[in-house]
Amino acid sequence: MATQNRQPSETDPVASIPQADAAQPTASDSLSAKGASRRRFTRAGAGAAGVLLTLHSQPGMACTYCGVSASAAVSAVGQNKAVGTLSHHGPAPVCNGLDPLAWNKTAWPAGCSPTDPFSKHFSCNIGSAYAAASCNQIMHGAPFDSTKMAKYMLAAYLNVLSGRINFLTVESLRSVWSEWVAKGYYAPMAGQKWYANDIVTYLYGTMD
Amino acid sequence: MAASETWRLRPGQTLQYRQWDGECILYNDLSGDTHLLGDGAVELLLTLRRGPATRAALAAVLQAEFDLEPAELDLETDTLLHDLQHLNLIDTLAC
Repeated sequence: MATQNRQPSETDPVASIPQADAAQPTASDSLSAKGASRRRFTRAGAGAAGVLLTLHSQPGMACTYCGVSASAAVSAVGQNKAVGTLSHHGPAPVCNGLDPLAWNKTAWPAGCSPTDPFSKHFSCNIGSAYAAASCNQIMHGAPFDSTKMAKYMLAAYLNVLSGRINFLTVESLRSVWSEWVAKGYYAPMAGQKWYANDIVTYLYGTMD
Repeated sequence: MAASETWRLRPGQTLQYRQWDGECILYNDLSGDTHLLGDGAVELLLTLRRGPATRAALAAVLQAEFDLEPAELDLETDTLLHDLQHLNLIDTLAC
């Protein structure tokens, strides 16, 4: 990878939001000072300041955030437990998710009760078996949830609500669920489709 | 792309990254891929981390931060937005 042998700069412009006016130059030198502080795009053609290279994860479902995926290990950016102490930017990921079995033995966080209809938290087609089920039924393994999609989705949901993981959101989980319900798959990126088993594998990877 | 088009970070992206001079590696939470990005892409992502922004506002960020000729600005802005959208790092708000 192009950055492999480089060392992070001590004056790393981390999370720098444009601060063109920060220096508050005088009127007489404002143009030159601003011009000097502005950076040049890397000029290797149009868009060269944008996406330079992509290191693809393993085929299939490699986005195992709480494990050591290939891309996470190589980049040291995926903040799994092994590299979690490296400096990084943004909130430190929390990876203490419980799996469905554990949630059957653990008090649920505020915001979701075992007796709630599953459809209160995830949109379901009217008349579907999912729409008629309680969260407790889903978590214990409903026969119609043969792929365990709802079961793992609900466990991930509880992990988010309880703060056991912080790199997924209620919104993102519901988005995945809704797309899967509507299309039968979730497309995390162009040309890639995650079917139920892929999604369950991903969600499982966010759980200890 | 319309100047009023509003962009946002795609839900689920947490922008875990490390930055060197002029380049940045960023982990894509949705794909598991790792991207090597230039300064321009990083500036747009960091701007969108603060909240959705229009294409015009994002172009203004690039103009303020980089030494871009006016004629280049539109092309560079559209190219960056297109590339970042293609990677599912950002998307547009339907409103």
